[in-house]
Amino acid sequence: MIWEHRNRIAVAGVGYSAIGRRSGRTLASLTLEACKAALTDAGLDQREVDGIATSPSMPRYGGRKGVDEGVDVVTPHYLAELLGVAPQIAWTGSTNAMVTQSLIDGALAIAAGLCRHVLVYRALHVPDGRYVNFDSAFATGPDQFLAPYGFSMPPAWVATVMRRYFELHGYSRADFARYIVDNRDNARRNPNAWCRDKPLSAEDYLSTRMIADPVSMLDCDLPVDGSCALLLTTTERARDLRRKPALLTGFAASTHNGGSAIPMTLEHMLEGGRQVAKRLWETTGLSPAEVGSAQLYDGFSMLVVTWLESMGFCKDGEGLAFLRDGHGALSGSLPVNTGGGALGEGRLHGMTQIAEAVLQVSGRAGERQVEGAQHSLATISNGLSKATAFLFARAD
Amino acid sequence: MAVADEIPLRPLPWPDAISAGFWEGAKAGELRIQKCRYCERWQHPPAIACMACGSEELGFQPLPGGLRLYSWTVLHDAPAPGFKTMLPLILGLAEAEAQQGLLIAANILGTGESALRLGMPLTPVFEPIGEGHVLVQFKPATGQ
Repeated sequence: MIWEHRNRIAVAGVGYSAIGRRSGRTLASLTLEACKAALTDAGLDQREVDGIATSPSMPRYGGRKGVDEGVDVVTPHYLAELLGVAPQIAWTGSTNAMVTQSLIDGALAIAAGLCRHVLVYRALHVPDGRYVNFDSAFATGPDQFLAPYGFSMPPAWVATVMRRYFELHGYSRADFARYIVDNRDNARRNPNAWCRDKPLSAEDYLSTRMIADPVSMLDCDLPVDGSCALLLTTTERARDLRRKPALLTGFAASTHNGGSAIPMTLEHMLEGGRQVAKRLWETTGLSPAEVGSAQLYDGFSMLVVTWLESMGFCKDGEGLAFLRDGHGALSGSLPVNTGGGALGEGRLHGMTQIAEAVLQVSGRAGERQVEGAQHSLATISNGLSKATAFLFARAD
Repeated sequence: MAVADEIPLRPLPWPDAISAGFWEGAKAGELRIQKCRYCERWQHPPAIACMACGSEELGFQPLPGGLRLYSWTVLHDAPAPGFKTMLPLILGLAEAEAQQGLLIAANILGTGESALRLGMPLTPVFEPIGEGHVLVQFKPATGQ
Protein backbone atom coordinates (compact mmCIF):
# COMPACT_ATOMS: atom_id res chain seq x y z
CA MET A 1 0.00 0.00 0.00
CA ILE A 2 1.31 3.44 -0.91
CA TRP A 3 2.29 5.59 2.07
CA GLU A 4 -0.39 8.23 2.43
CA HIS A 5 2.14 10.98 3.17
CA ARG A 6 4.25 10.21 0.14
CA ASN A 7 6.05 13.38 -1.06
CA ARG A 8 4.27 15.52 1.56
CA ILE A 9 7.29 15.77 3.88
CA ALA A 10 10.49 17.31 2.58
CA VAL A 11 14.07 18.12 3.45
CA ALA A 12 14.38 21.88 3.06
CA GLY A 13 17.91 22.41 4.28
CA VAL A 14 21.25 20.60 4.58
CA GLY A 15 24.10 21.74 6.78
CA TYR A 16 27.60 20.48 7.44
CA SER A 17 30.14 21.48 10.03
CA ALA A 18 33.79 21.53 9.07
CA ILE A 19 34.98 17.91 8.80
CA GLY A 20 38.26 17.27 10.60
CA ARG A 21 40.26 14.77 12.55
CA ARG A 22 41.20 15.46 16.17
CA SER A 23 40.26 19.04 15.41
CA GLY A 24 40.18 20.05 19.07
CA ARG A 25 36.62 21.32 18.70
CA THR A 26 33.85 20.02 20.89
CA LEU A 27 31.01 17.98 19.50
CA ALA A 28 28.66 20.69 20.75
CA SER A 29 30.45 23.27 18.61
CA LEU A 30 30.39 21.05 15.50
CA THR A 31 26.70 20.26 15.99
CA LEU A 32 25.78 23.90 16.36
CA GLU A 33 27.71 24.74 13.22
CA ALA A 34 25.91 22.04 11.21
CA CYS A 35 22.45 22.90 12.54
CA LYS A 36 22.89 26.60 11.94
CA ALA A 37 24.14 25.84 8.44
CA ALA A 38 21.02 23.73 7.76
CA LEU A 39 18.78 26.55 8.98
CA THR A 40 20.65 29.10 6.87
CA ASP A 41 20.41 26.77 3.89
CA ALA A 42 16.65 26.53 4.37
CA GLY A 43 16.32 30.25 5.03
CA LEU A 44 14.62 29.53 8.34
CA ASP A 45 15.07 31.36 11.63
CA GLN A 46 15.96 29.08 14.51
CA ARG A 47 13.04 30.50 16.45
CA GLU A 48 10.83 28.43 14.14
CA VAL A 49 12.42 25.08 15.03
CA ASP A 50 9.97 23.02 17.09
CA GLY A 51 11.33 19.49 16.75
CA ILE A 52 14.79 17.96 17.26
CA ALA A 53 15.93 14.36 16.80
CA THR A 54 19.12 12.36 16.70
CA SER A 55 20.88 9.16 17.70
CA PRO A 56 22.93 10.45 20.65
CA SER A 57 25.49 7.69 20.82
CA MET A 58 29.18 7.07 20.30
CA PRO A 59 29.47 3.91 18.18
CA ARG A 60 32.84 2.88 19.55
CA TYR A 61 33.47 -0.82 19.98
CA GLY A 62 35.17 -1.92 23.19
CA GLY A 63 36.69 0.19 25.91
CA ARG A 64 35.15 3.44 27.06
CA LYS A 65 32.29 4.49 24.82
CA GLY A 66 32.00 8.05 26.06
CA VAL A 67 28.70 9.52 27.16
CA ASP A 68 29.63 13.07 28.11
CA GLU A 69 27.16 15.64 26.85
CA GLY A 70 28.66 18.02 24.33
CA VAL A 71 31.87 15.98 24.16
CA ASP A 72 30.90 12.43 23.14
CA VAL A 73 27.20 12.99 22.38
CA VAL A 74 24.79 15.87 21.83
CA THR A 75 21.24 15.01 22.91
CA PRO A 76 18.21 16.85 21.51
CA HIS A 77 17.54 18.44 24.91
CA TYR A 78 21.08 19.76 25.14
CA LEU A 79 20.97 21.05 21.57
CA ALA A 80 17.69 22.85 22.30
CA GLU A 81 19.46 24.73 25.07
CA LEU A 82 22.52 25.46 22.93
CA LEU A 83 20.29 26.92 20.25
CA GLY A 84 18.27 28.83 22.86
CA VAL A 85 15.05 27.31 21.58
CA ALA A 86 14.12 24.90 24.40
CA PRO A 87 10.80 26.57 25.32
CA GLN A 88 9.42 26.17 21.80
CA ILE A 89 10.39 22.52 21.21
CA ALA A 90 7.21 20.48 20.92
CA TRP A 91 8.82 17.14 20.05
CA THR A 92 12.17 15.44 20.50
CA GLY A 93 13.33 12.07 19.30
CA SER A 94 16.28 9.96 20.42
CA THR A 95 16.86 6.61 18.83
CA ASN A 96 19.09 3.69 19.73
CA ALA A 97 19.13 2.78 16.04
CA MET A 98 21.11 4.62 13.39
CA VAL A 99 20.32 8.35 13.16
CA THR A 100 18.31 7.74 10.02
CA GLN A 101 15.60 6.23 12.22
CA SER A 102 15.31 9.81 13.52
CA LEU A 103 14.50 10.92 10.00
CA ILE A 104 11.57 8.48 9.96
CA ASP A 105 10.50 9.57 13.45
CA GLY A 106 10.75 13.25 12.52
CA ALA A 107 8.74 12.79 9.32
CA LEU A 108 6.03 10.99 11.27
CA ALA A 109 6.00 13.66 13.98
CA ILE A 110 5.42 16.27 11.29
CA ALA A 111 2.78 14.11 9.59
CA ALA A 112 1.04 13.71 12.96
CA GLY A 113 0.99 17.48 13.43
CA LEU A 114 3.19 17.44 16.52
CA CYS A 115 5.67 19.89 15.05
CA ARG A 116 6.50 21.69 11.83
CA HIS A 117 10.25 22.27 11.52
CA VAL A 118 12.47 19.41 12.69
CA LEU A 119 16.25 19.36 12.90
CA VAL A 120 17.70 15.86 12.40
CA TYR A 121 21.43 15.75 12.99
CA ARG A 122 24.34 13.43 13.68
CA ALA A 123 27.56 14.38 15.39
CA LEU A 124 30.57 12.08 15.64
CA HIS A 125 34.15 12.50 16.67
CA VAL A 126 37.42 10.63 16.74
CA PRO A 127 37.96 9.44 20.30
CA ASP A 128 41.31 9.20 22.05
CA GLY A 129 43.32 6.08 21.25
CA ARG A 130 42.06 3.50 18.81
CA TYR A 131 38.46 3.62 17.66
CA VAL A 132 38.18 -0.11 18.12
CA ASN A 133 39.86 -0.86 21.39
CA PHE A 134 38.79 -4.00 23.16
CA ASP A 135 41.13 -3.62 26.12
CA SER A 136 39.47 -5.65 28.87
CA ALA A 137 41.09 -8.73 30.38
CA PHE A 138 37.71 -10.46 30.40
CA ALA A 139 35.04 -10.62 27.70
CA THR A 140 31.44 -10.66 28.88
CA GLY A 141 28.05 -10.98 27.19
CA PRO A 142 28.20 -11.41 23.41
CA ASP A 143 31.91 -10.46 23.46
CA GLN A 144 32.83 -13.68 25.28
CA PHE A 145 32.35 -15.53 21.97
CA LEU A 146 34.32 -12.98 19.94
CA ALA A 147 37.06 -11.15 21.84
CA PRO A 148 38.95 -14.28 23.05
CA TYR A 149 39.47 -15.06 19.37
CA GLY A 150 40.45 -11.56 18.27
CA PHE A 151 37.07 -11.21 16.57
CA SER A 152 36.34 -8.04 18.49
CA MET A 153 36.02 -5.52 15.70
CA PRO A 154 33.51 -4.74 12.94
CA PRO A 155 36.15 -4.78 10.15
CA ALA A 156 36.81 -8.46 10.97
CA TRP A 157 33.10 -9.25 10.83
CA VAL A 158 32.65 -7.62 7.44
CA ALA A 159 35.88 -9.25 6.25
CA THR A 160 34.18 -12.63 6.62
CA VAL A 161 31.29 -11.30 4.54
CA MET A 162 33.66 -10.12 1.82
CA ARG A 163 35.70 -13.33 1.92
CA ARG A 164 32.59 -15.51 1.57
CA TYR A 165 31.29 -13.33 -1.26
CA PHE A 166 34.66 -13.61 -3.04
CA GLU A 167 34.79 -17.39 -2.60
CA LEU A 168 31.18 -17.99 -3.66
CA HIS A 169 31.34 -15.80 -6.75
CA GLY A 170 34.98 -15.92 -7.81
CA TYR A 171 36.06 -12.35 -7.05
CA SER A 172 39.17 -10.84 -5.50
CA ARG A 173 40.15 -7.45 -4.12
CA ALA A 174 41.25 -6.38 -7.60
CA ASP A 175 37.58 -6.39 -8.58
CA PHE A 176 36.88 -3.72 -5.97
CA ALA A 177 39.58 -1.31 -7.17
CA ARG A 178 37.49 0.37 -9.88
CA TYR A 179 34.73 1.22 -7.44
CA ILE A 180 37.09 2.52 -4.77
CA VAL A 181 38.76 4.80 -7.33
CA ASP A 182 35.46 5.94 -8.89
CA ASN A 183 34.18 6.70 -5.43
CA ARG A 184 37.22 8.78 -4.55
CA ASP A 185 36.79 10.70 -7.78
CA ASN A 186 33.26 11.53 -6.64
CA ALA A 187 34.55 12.65 -3.24
CA ARG A 188 36.97 15.00 -4.99
CA ARG A 189 33.93 16.79 -6.43
CA ASN A 190 32.36 17.13 -2.98
CA PRO A 191 33.44 20.19 -0.97
CA ASN A 192 32.30 18.49 2.27
CA ALA A 193 34.45 15.39 1.77
CA TRP A 194 37.43 14.75 4.02
CA CYS A 195 39.19 13.11 1.05
CA ARG A 196 38.42 15.89 -1.47
CA ASP A 197 42.11 16.75 -1.85
CA LYS A 198 43.39 13.19 -1.81
CA PRO A 199 43.57 11.46 -5.18
CA LEU A 200 43.67 7.67 -5.19
CA SER A 201 44.75 5.05 -7.73
CA ALA A 202 43.94 1.38 -8.08
CA GLU A 203 47.56 0.65 -7.13
CA ASP A 204 47.09 2.63 -3.92
CA TYR A 205 44.05 0.53 -3.10
CA LEU A 206 45.73 -2.78 -3.80
CA SER A 207 48.83 -1.94 -1.77
CA THR A 208 47.21 -0.35 1.25
CA ARG A 209 47.43 -1.82 4.74
CA MET A 210 45.11 -4.67 5.63
CA ILE A 211 42.88 -4.31 8.67
CA ALA A 212 41.33 -7.77 8.43
CA ASP A 213 42.19 -9.45 5.15
CA PRO A 214 40.52 -8.92 2.65
CA VAL A 215 39.31 -5.66 4.25
CA SER A 216 41.91 -2.88 4.02
CA MET A 217 42.08 0.65 5.38
CA LEU A 218 40.47 1.89 2.16
CA ASP A 219 37.48 -0.45 2.59
CA CYS A 220 36.57 1.22 5.89
CA ASP A 221 35.11 4.68 6.38
CA LEU A 222 37.34 7.08 8.23
CA PRO A 223 36.41 8.35 11.69
CA VAL A 224 36.11 12.13 11.61
CA ASP A 225 35.06 15.00 13.82
CA GLY A 226 31.98 16.42 12.22
CA SER A 227 28.27 16.92 12.10
CA CYS A 228 25.59 16.98 9.45
CA ALA A 229 22.08 18.33 9.94
CA LEU A 230 18.87 18.28 7.93
CA LEU A 231 15.85 20.56 8.25
CA LEU A 232 12.65 18.62 7.76
CA THR A 233 9.25 20.18 7.22
CA THR A 234 6.09 19.74 5.19
CA THR A 235 6.43 19.98 1.44
CA GLU A 236 3.87 22.77 1.48
CA ARG A 237 5.96 24.80 3.93
CA ALA A 238 9.20 23.92 2.13
CA ARG A 239 7.95 25.51 -1.07
CA ASP A 240 7.99 28.87 0.75
CA LEU A 241 11.56 28.43 1.94
CA ARG A 242 14.84 29.31 0.26
CA ARG A 243 15.82 26.04 -1.43
CA LYS A 244 14.13 23.67 -3.78
CA PRO A 245 13.06 20.88 -1.42
CA ALA A 246 13.76 17.15 -1.67
CA LEU A 247 10.50 15.29 -1.22
CA LEU A 248 10.43 12.23 1.00
CA THR A 249 8.70 9.65 -1.17
CA GLY A 250 8.98 6.88 1.37
CA PHE A 251 11.13 4.81 3.66
CA ALA A 252 11.52 1.34 5.09
CA ALA A 253 13.38 -0.18 8.02
CA SER A 254 14.82 -3.63 8.60
CA THR A 255 13.68 -5.88 11.40
CA HIS A 256 15.76 -8.87 10.31
CA ASN A 257 18.20 -9.61 13.09
CA GLY A 258 19.62 -12.88 11.90
CA GLY A 259 21.36 -13.48 15.22
CA SER A 260 24.53 -15.38 14.53
CA ALA A 261 28.04 -16.05 15.76
CA ILE A 262 29.12 -12.64 14.54
CA PRO A 263 26.98 -9.54 14.02
CA MET A 264 27.25 -9.53 10.19
CA THR A 265 26.85 -12.42 7.79
CA LEU A 266 26.37 -12.27 4.03
CA GLU A 267 23.12 -14.21 3.83
CA HIS A 268 21.43 -12.34 6.67
CA MET A 269 22.50 -8.94 5.32
CA LEU A 270 21.05 -9.82 1.93
CA GLU A 271 17.84 -11.15 3.49
CA GLY A 272 17.39 -8.03 5.64
CA GLY A 273 18.06 -5.82 2.65
CA ARG A 274 15.53 -7.70 0.53
CA GLN A 275 12.88 -7.19 3.21
CA VAL A 276 13.67 -3.45 3.26
CA ALA A 277 13.49 -3.37 -0.52
CA LYS A 278 10.11 -5.10 -0.63
CA ARG A 279 8.61 -2.60 1.81
CA LEU A 280 10.22 0.39 0.13
CA TRP A 281 9.07 -0.46 -3.37
CA GLU A 282 5.59 -1.38 -2.15
CA THR A 283 5.02 1.76 -0.09
CA THR A 284 6.44 4.14 -2.71
CA GLY A 285 5.01 2.47 -5.81
CA LEU A 286 8.44 2.75 -7.41
CA SER A 287 11.02 0.27 -8.63
CA PRO A 288 14.81 0.16 -9.03
CA ALA A 289 14.44 1.26 -12.65
CA GLU A 290 13.15 4.64 -11.47
CA VAL A 291 16.17 5.42 -9.30
CA GLY A 292 18.57 7.93 -10.88
CA SER A 293 21.33 7.71 -8.28
CA ALA A 294 21.86 5.37 -5.37
CA GLN A 295 23.53 6.46 -2.15
CA LEU A 296 24.37 3.08 -0.63
CA TYR A 297 25.80 2.92 2.86
CA ASP A 298 29.52 2.36 2.82
CA GLY A 299 30.73 2.20 6.37
CA PHE A 300 32.53 -0.68 4.63
CA SER A 301 32.92 -1.00 0.87
CA MET A 302 31.34 -4.46 0.94
CA LEU A 303 28.00 -3.04 2.03
CA VAL A 304 27.65 -1.21 -1.27
CA VAL A 305 27.63 -4.59 -3.01
CA THR A 306 25.08 -6.21 -0.69
CA TRP A 307 22.77 -3.20 -1.03
CA LEU A 308 23.06 -3.25 -4.84
CA GLU A 309 21.90 -6.85 -4.81
CA SER A 310 19.31 -6.75 -2.05
CA MET A 311 17.61 -3.59 -3.35
CA GLY A 312 17.17 -5.30 -6.71
CA PHE A 313 19.68 -3.46 -8.89
CA CYS A 314 21.75 -6.59 -9.49
CA LYS A 315 21.26 -10.31 -9.20
CA ASP A 316 22.96 -12.22 -6.40
CA GLY A 317 26.68 -12.34 -7.01
CA GLU A 318 26.64 -9.68 -9.73
CA GLY A 319 26.90 -6.53 -7.61
CA LEU A 320 30.66 -6.38 -7.60
CA ALA A 321 30.89 -7.02 -11.34
CA PHE A 322 28.48 -4.11 -11.82
CA LEU A 323 30.87 -1.83 -9.94
CA ARG A 324 34.00 -3.37 -11.47
CA ASP A 325 32.63 -2.65 -14.94
CA GLY A 326 32.00 1.00 -14.07
CA HIS A 327 28.19 0.97 -14.04
CA GLY A 328 28.23 2.67 -10.63
CA ALA A 329 30.51 5.52 -11.74
CA LEU A 330 29.18 9.04 -12.16
CA SER A 331 28.95 8.36 -15.91
CA GLY A 332 27.49 4.87 -15.41
CA SER A 333 23.95 3.57 -15.66
CA LEU A 334 23.38 3.93 -11.90
CA PRO A 335 25.71 6.44 -10.27
CA VAL A 336 26.49 5.16 -6.77
CA ASN A 337 27.58 7.31 -3.83
CA THR A 338 27.84 10.35 -6.03
CA GLY A 339 29.42 12.45 -3.25
CA GLY A 340 32.02 9.83 -2.38
CA GLY A 341 30.01 8.21 0.39
CA ALA A 342 31.38 7.77 3.87
CA LEU A 343 34.58 6.30 2.41
CA GLY A 344 35.26 9.70 0.91
CA GLU A 345 33.41 12.07 3.18
CA GLY A 346 34.12 10.51 6.59
CA ARG A 347 32.04 8.62 9.11
CA LEU A 348 28.77 10.47 9.69
CA HIS A 349 26.68 7.34 10.05
CA GLY A 350 24.40 7.54 7.06
CA MET A 351 23.86 11.29 7.01
CA THR A 352 26.28 11.29 4.08
CA GLN A 353 23.92 9.14 2.03
CA ILE A 354 20.81 11.12 3.01
CA ALA A 355 22.40 14.51 2.37
CA GLU A 356 23.69 13.43 -1.03
CA ALA A 357 20.29 12.05 -2.08
CA VAL A 358 18.74 15.37 -1.05
CA LEU A 359 21.32 17.42 -2.96
CA GLN A 360 20.92 15.24 -6.06
CA VAL A 361 17.13 15.55 -6.32
CA SER A 362 17.22 19.25 -5.55
CA GLY A 363 19.78 19.84 -8.29
CA ARG A 364 22.42 21.09 -5.91
CA ALA A 365 25.17 18.50 -6.36
CA GLY A 366 27.44 20.81 -8.34
CA GLU A 367 30.20 19.05 -10.30
CA ARG A 368 28.77 15.67 -9.40
CA GLN A 369 25.16 16.38 -10.36
CA VAL A 370 23.39 13.47 -12.09
CA GLU A 371 21.23 15.11 -14.74
CA GLY A 372 17.59 14.26 -15.12
CA ALA A 373 17.34 12.11 -12.03
CA GLN A 374 13.84 12.19 -10.59
CA HIS A 375 14.58 9.95 -7.62
CA SER A 376 17.55 9.17 -5.42
CA LEU A 377 17.79 6.25 -3.05
CA ALA A 378 19.64 6.26 0.26
CA THR A 379 20.26 3.05 2.18
CA ILE A 380 21.79 3.03 5.63
CA SER A 381 23.63 0.42 7.71
CA ASN A 382 24.08 -3.21 6.70
CA GLY A 383 20.59 -4.56 5.98
CA LEU A 384 20.13 -6.07 9.43
CA SER A 385 17.85 -4.71 12.15
CA LYS A 386 17.95 -0.91 12.36
CA ALA A 387 18.99 -0.54 8.73
CA THR A 388 16.84 1.93 6.79
CA ALA A 389 16.21 3.04 3.23
CA PHE A 390 14.75 6.26 1.85
CA LEU A 391 13.59 7.46 -1.50
CA PHE A 392 13.68 11.15 -2.28
CA ALA A 393 11.96 12.80 -5.24
CA ARG A 394 12.61 15.99 -7.10
CA ALA A 395 10.01 18.72 -6.50
CA ASP A 396 8.32 19.76 -9.71
CA MET B 1 60.24 -3.46 32.45
CA ALA B 2 56.91 -3.43 30.72
CA VAL B 3 54.73 -5.83 32.62
CA ALA B 4 52.06 -5.78 29.94
CA ASP B 5 54.53 -7.29 27.45
CA GLU B 6 55.12 -10.28 29.68
CA ILE B 7 51.50 -11.15 30.35
CA PRO B 8 49.97 -13.04 27.43
CA LEU B 9 46.89 -10.85 27.28
CA ARG B 10 44.10 -12.44 25.37
CA PRO B 11 40.66 -11.54 26.67
CA LEU B 12 39.31 -14.46 28.69
CA PRO B 13 35.67 -15.51 28.28
CA TRP B 14 33.57 -14.68 31.31
CA PRO B 15 30.85 -17.34 31.52
CA ASP B 16 27.44 -16.30 32.80
CA ALA B 17 24.19 -18.09 33.60
CA ILE B 18 23.30 -18.25 29.90
CA SER B 19 26.65 -19.29 28.49
CA ALA B 20 28.02 -21.58 31.24
CA GLY B 21 26.95 -24.75 29.46
CA PHE B 22 29.09 -23.91 26.43
CA TRP B 23 32.24 -23.26 28.47
CA GLU B 24 31.69 -26.30 30.69
CA GLY B 25 31.55 -28.33 27.50
CA ALA B 26 34.85 -26.82 26.36
CA LYS B 27 36.49 -27.79 29.65
CA ALA B 28 35.18 -31.33 29.16
CA GLY B 29 36.59 -31.40 25.63
CA GLU B 30 33.19 -31.32 23.97
CA LEU B 31 31.48 -28.83 21.68
CA ARG B 32 28.12 -28.30 23.37
CA ILE B 33 25.62 -25.97 21.76
CA GLN B 34 22.36 -24.56 23.07
CA LYS B 35 19.25 -26.28 21.75
CA CYS B 36 15.59 -25.43 22.12
CA ARG B 37 13.66 -28.29 23.71
CA TYR B 38 10.45 -27.04 22.15
CA CYS B 39 11.27 -26.45 18.47
CA GLU B 40 14.58 -28.37 18.53
CA ARG B 41 16.55 -25.62 16.84
CA TRP B 42 20.20 -25.13 17.72
CA GLN B 43 21.40 -21.60 18.39
CA HIS B 44 24.75 -19.97 18.98
CA PRO B 45 25.70 -17.84 20.77
CA PRO B 46 23.38 -18.98 23.55
CA ALA B 47 20.55 -16.65 24.52
CA ILE B 48 17.87 -16.36 27.21
CA ALA B 49 15.20 -17.60 24.84
CA CYS B 50 14.95 -19.46 21.56
CA MET B 51 15.36 -16.91 18.79
CA ALA B 52 13.12 -19.00 16.53
CA CYS B 53 10.11 -19.70 18.77
CA GLY B 54 10.60 -17.71 21.99
CA SER B 55 10.70 -20.76 24.23
CA GLU B 56 12.81 -20.53 27.36
CA GLU B 57 13.16 -24.31 27.54
CA LEU B 58 16.77 -24.50 26.48
CA GLY B 59 19.65 -26.83 27.18
CA PHE B 60 23.15 -27.66 25.98
CA GLN B 61 23.88 -30.79 23.98
CA PRO B 62 26.89 -32.12 22.12
CA LEU B 63 26.65 -30.89 18.53
CA PRO B 64 26.23 -33.85 16.18
CA GLY B 65 27.64 -33.97 12.65
CA GLY B 66 30.57 -32.21 11.13
CA LEU B 67 31.68 -28.62 10.75
CA ARG B 68 32.53 -26.82 7.52
CA LEU B 69 34.47 -23.63 6.97
CA TYR B 70 31.86 -20.95 6.20
CA SER B 71 34.20 -17.96 5.95
CA TRP B 72 37.33 -16.46 7.46
CA THR B 73 39.53 -13.42 7.80
CA VAL B 74 43.22 -13.04 8.56
CA LEU B 75 44.72 -10.48 10.94
CA HIS B 76 48.35 -9.47 10.54
CA ASP B 77 48.28 -7.12 13.52
CA ALA B 78 47.57 -8.52 16.95
CA PRO B 79 44.16 -7.35 18.23
CA ALA B 80 45.58 -7.66 21.78
CA PRO B 81 49.14 -8.32 22.99
CA GLY B 82 48.45 -11.97 23.70
CA PHE B 83 47.78 -12.70 20.04
CA LYS B 84 51.28 -11.70 18.89
CA THR B 85 52.58 -15.27 18.87
CA MET B 86 49.60 -16.41 16.78
CA LEU B 87 50.14 -14.09 13.78
CA PRO B 88 48.94 -14.26 11.14
CA LEU B 89 45.80 -14.92 13.14
CA ILE B 90 43.04 -16.74 11.29
CA LEU B 91 39.53 -15.96 12.46
CA GLY B 92 37.09 -18.49 11.11
CA LEU B 93 33.42 -19.26 11.08
CA ALA B 94 32.38 -22.90 11.14
CA GLU B 95 28.95 -23.90 9.89
CA ALA B 96 27.36 -26.93 11.52
CA GLU B 97 26.18 -29.69 9.24
CA ALA B 98 23.45 -30.29 11.82
CA GLN B 99 21.70 -27.03 10.90
CA GLN B 100 22.26 -24.72 7.95
CA GLY B 101 23.29 -21.25 9.05
CA LEU B 102 24.40 -22.30 12.54
CA LEU B 103 27.79 -20.61 12.81
CA ILE B 104 30.48 -20.77 15.47
CA ALA B 105 33.36 -18.29 15.57
CA ALA B 106 36.87 -19.32 16.60
CA ASN B 107 40.46 -19.32 15.40
CA ILE B 108 41.57 -21.82 12.80
CA LEU B 109 44.71 -23.43 14.21
CA GLY B 110 47.31 -25.72 12.73
CA THR B 111 47.14 -24.47 9.17
CA GLY B 112 48.07 -21.52 6.99
CA GLU B 113 45.88 -19.09 5.11
CA SER B 114 46.69 -20.60 1.71
CA ALA B 115 45.25 -23.98 2.75
CA LEU B 116 41.83 -22.56 3.59
CA ARG B 117 38.93 -23.48 1.32
CA LEU B 118 35.26 -22.63 1.60
CA GLY B 119 33.43 -25.69 2.90
CA MET B 120 36.53 -27.54 4.09
CA PRO B 121 35.84 -29.89 7.00
CA LEU B 122 36.89 -28.66 10.43
CA THR B 123 37.17 -30.37 13.75
CA PRO B 124 36.98 -28.73 17.17
CA VAL B 125 40.03 -28.60 19.40
CA PHE B 126 40.13 -27.34 22.94
CA GLU B 127 42.76 -24.83 23.94
CA PRO B 128 43.49 -24.07 27.60
CA ILE B 129 44.37 -20.38 27.85
CA GLY B 130 45.01 -20.01 31.54
CA GLU B 131 43.14 -19.48 34.78
CA GLY B 132 41.07 -22.58 34.07
CA HIS B 133 39.62 -21.21 30.82
CA VAL B 134 39.39 -23.43 27.78
CA LEU B 135 38.52 -22.10 24.32
CA VAL B 136 36.79 -24.02 21.59
CA GLN B 137 39.03 -23.72 18.51
CA PHE B 138 39.03 -25.35 15.09
CA LYS B 139 41.58 -27.10 12.95
CA PRO B 140 41.26 -28.77 9.56
CA ALA B 141 39.76 -32.23 9.87
CA THR B 142 42.11 -34.99 8.80
CA GLY B 143 41.35 -38.24 7.03
CA GLN B 144 38.68 -36.73 4.78
